[in-house]
Amino acid sequence: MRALSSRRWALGLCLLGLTCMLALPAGVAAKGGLELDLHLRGSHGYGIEVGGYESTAFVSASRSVGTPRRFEATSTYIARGKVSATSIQASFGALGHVSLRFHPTGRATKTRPRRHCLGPDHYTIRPGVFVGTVRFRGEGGYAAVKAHRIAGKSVTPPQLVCFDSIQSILREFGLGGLAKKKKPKVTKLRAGWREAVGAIYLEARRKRDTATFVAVHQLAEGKLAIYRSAYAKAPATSFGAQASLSQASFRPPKPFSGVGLFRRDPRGAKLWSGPLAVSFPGEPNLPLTGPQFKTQLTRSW
Amino acid sequence: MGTLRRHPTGAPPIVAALVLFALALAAAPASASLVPATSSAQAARSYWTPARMRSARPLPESRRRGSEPAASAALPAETIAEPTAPGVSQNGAVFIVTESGLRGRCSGTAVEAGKVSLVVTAGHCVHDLGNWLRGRWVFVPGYRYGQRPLGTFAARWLGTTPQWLRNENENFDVGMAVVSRNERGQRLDRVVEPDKIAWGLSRRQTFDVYGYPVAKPFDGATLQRCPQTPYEGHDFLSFLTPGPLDLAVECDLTPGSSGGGWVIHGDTLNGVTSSGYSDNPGTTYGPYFGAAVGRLYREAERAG
Repeated sequence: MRALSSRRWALGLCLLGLTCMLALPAGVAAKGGLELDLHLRGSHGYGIEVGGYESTAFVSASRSVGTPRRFEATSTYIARGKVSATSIQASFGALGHVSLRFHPTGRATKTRPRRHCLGPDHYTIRPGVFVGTVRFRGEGGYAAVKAHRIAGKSVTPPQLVCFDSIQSILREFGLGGLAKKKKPKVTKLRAGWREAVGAIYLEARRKRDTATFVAVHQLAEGKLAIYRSAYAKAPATSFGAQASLSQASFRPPKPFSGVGLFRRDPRGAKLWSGPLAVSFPGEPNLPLTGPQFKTQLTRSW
Repeated sequence: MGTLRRHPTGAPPIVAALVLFALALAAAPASASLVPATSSAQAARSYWTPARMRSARPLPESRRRGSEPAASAALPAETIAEPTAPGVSQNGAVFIVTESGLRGRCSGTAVEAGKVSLVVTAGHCVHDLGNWLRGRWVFVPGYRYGQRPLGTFAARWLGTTPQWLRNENENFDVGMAVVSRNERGQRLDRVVEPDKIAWGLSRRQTFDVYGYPVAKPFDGATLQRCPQTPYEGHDFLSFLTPGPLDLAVECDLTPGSSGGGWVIHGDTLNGVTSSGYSDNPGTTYGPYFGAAVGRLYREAERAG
């Protein structure tokens, strides 16, 4: 059986929100293409994004708090669709549909070139108006939007592949030893489990005086894929760990709730328990502990 | 760290990731691609001694989905006691020498193809990491414990879908090999009863999934089967790349079973094993057999 390609595995990590490092050859990055993209204000304080590229269309509903953000929760619904330079069409089943034509309204502008890019080093953004219908109502009506004329843009290419520095490129391609070494002191817990068509992952990191928590739930449900993510930032006291890493406790803020307890018994068996849960848009109080989770508690040195 | 933000108000990371991944696997041209094998049939057959066959490792050697193996909750696969028996002997092990000289292996299925002897397997079992796996590619139907009771069939032509060839798009991870006669001068379809092949059917099928898993708890010595396992849905990642959505079934086969046949109605090939996650070994994923598979099949028929 074939195991995961490096690109897909990297994407998997990226999707988990754990790291966004993709090892893409330059030729891939230079292939071009475009993305259509628009933002709306939905009900109950949710921001709604609609977009598409190739044969994939998505609607994303998110809510965040704080500047800089202290927490954010997003649910992205992904479906097969028809996406061209001038239109997006896709059905999201009971959640709604998108049928829009893009009409450019102004001159294309180029963004400032970036450094250390694989392939293109800037975006070409063309503003315009989407005309047609966007109808979306999240599960249980947590957010809804209906619109017929929305400002948006087309972006070429859909994404740049750029790096902060030459060192980061070397690290990206597994040549970290050649780059200047950094030794961040990070304590990290990873917990997750996977079933046939879905997976849940949690990563908690404590670095200096801050703890960050990321949870991801991905699911394929009929003709729809759903990707939910939650992020929270809190004082380091929300992530307590013994120096021996035999015990740790987690009390992340919203959109998380409850406490997670990690314990390693004298024989080395790992226990992951407690009422820790996360609330995603459309999926409240999803448990994040239990015997089905595989866990790993580590500290860098 | 890679910088994925477009601009401060740009797409959230998920959207960026989706877009970037799709770019990496952009649409490919419509025609399939076949290439001739580089080694002679005799050289390929004689290379594969029992010891070399036993030493071959699953392809690709260095890649794994997920991080740590986990216990499987799926019903265990069953060992086929007599892999040379009618009804199962069309399943076999595939042995390959990679560009770098590694001995690799997969699984495959003999299918009906007119005058051509054709083996269907996974795309990554004929083309991987940018290279055709043309060196000493052989199909051994009925393989067991290092023995080849029905002979060894060396590849004459290898082919895969253009989407796999260009972009390693796993929604199109299907490969085919036109094979020569065995060392006794017998055609493949005279030695085994090939499966039929079907494409464009509903995904809601119940499959017998065959393969020669090598990774633990298996050892690659015997043919395994997950009997009557129904379609369960799609892998999430299948949505992020162009093409027909893949299929998931409950089956605990491990690496080495790549390319093994997914058979419906007892005699019709309608899928192959492509991938799995090490943190959920109870589920196996394979590409949907759609129009691209049909085009590849027709091209392989003509290659003969």
